[in-house]
Amino acid sequence: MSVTTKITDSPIDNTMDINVLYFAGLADEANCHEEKITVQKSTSLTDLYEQLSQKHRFSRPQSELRVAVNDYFVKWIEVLNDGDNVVFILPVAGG
Amino acid sequence: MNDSVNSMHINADIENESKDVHSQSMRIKRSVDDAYTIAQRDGFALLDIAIDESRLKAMLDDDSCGAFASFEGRVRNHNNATSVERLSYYGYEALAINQGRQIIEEAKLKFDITHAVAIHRIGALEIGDIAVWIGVVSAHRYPAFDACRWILDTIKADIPIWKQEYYEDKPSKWLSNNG
Repeated sequence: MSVTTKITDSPIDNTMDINVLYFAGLADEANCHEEKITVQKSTSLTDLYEQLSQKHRFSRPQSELRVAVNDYFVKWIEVLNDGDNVVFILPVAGG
Repeated sequence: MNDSVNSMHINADIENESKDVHSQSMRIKRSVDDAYTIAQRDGFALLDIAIDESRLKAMLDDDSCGAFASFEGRVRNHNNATSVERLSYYGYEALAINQGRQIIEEAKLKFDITHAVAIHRIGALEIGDIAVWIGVVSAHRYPAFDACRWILDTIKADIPIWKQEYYEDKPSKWLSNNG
C-alpha cells in the first residue's frame, strides 16, 4: 500500500512581501514614506494599488498614475515578485 | 488662549508631520561628488545643494564642438497670477537617475550632438535658485539648441520629481506639469 502526499497538503507560503515607497501627494495621504505590505502571490500592480487606495483613501485613480518596480518604470501588467520595490508615480512636476 | 492660536498650533503639527514623510525625498542618497560623477558618466543626476554650473560646463569641453547650448530653469516668484514665496522639489532619486540616463542616450540618438549633461535639484529652493541645468555640445549649433530643448521637455514629462509651492496667504499646493 502506497501513501501519496499531495503537494498542496504541505504548508506553502502563498504570499509575498512588497515594499512600497510614497512620494508627494501619495506620501501625504498615506502619511508615510515607505511601507511593507504582504499580499497574495497572484496580486497584480492594479490589485496592489486598489488595496492601498482603499487603505489610505488615495484621491487619484490608477488611470492618472504610472508605476515603477525596482527603480524602473513598468507597465501595469508587469508581474510582481516577492521583495519587489513598488512606487506609484503621480503626475510629475520637475523643471 | 483663543481659537486662532489653537488652529495655528494644529497647522504647525501638520506641517511637521508632512515634512517628515517627505524628508527622504528632499535629499540625495549619495555624496555630491558621486552625483557629479554620475552626471558626467550617464548625463543626468539629482543634487540637493546649489548646482555648480561651471563644474557641469567643464564636463562638456570638447575641441570638436563648435556649439554649446545651455538652459537654466530658475525658481520664479509667481505662478499664473499667484505670488510664490518659495518652493520645494521632491525626487525619487534611483528612478530619476535610471530615467535620466535613458533620456540622454535617446537625445544622442535623435540629435547630432557630442555630449549632454543635466542636473535637477531637489529640496527647499528660494526664488532665483537654479532648479535644473542642461548643457549640450555639438559640432554645429542647431542640434545643440534642439537637443537642449528636447531634453528639458522630456525631463519635465518623465523624471520623477514633484513640486510644492508655498504662498504668502494660502495653503501650499502640489503642482503637476500635465494635469
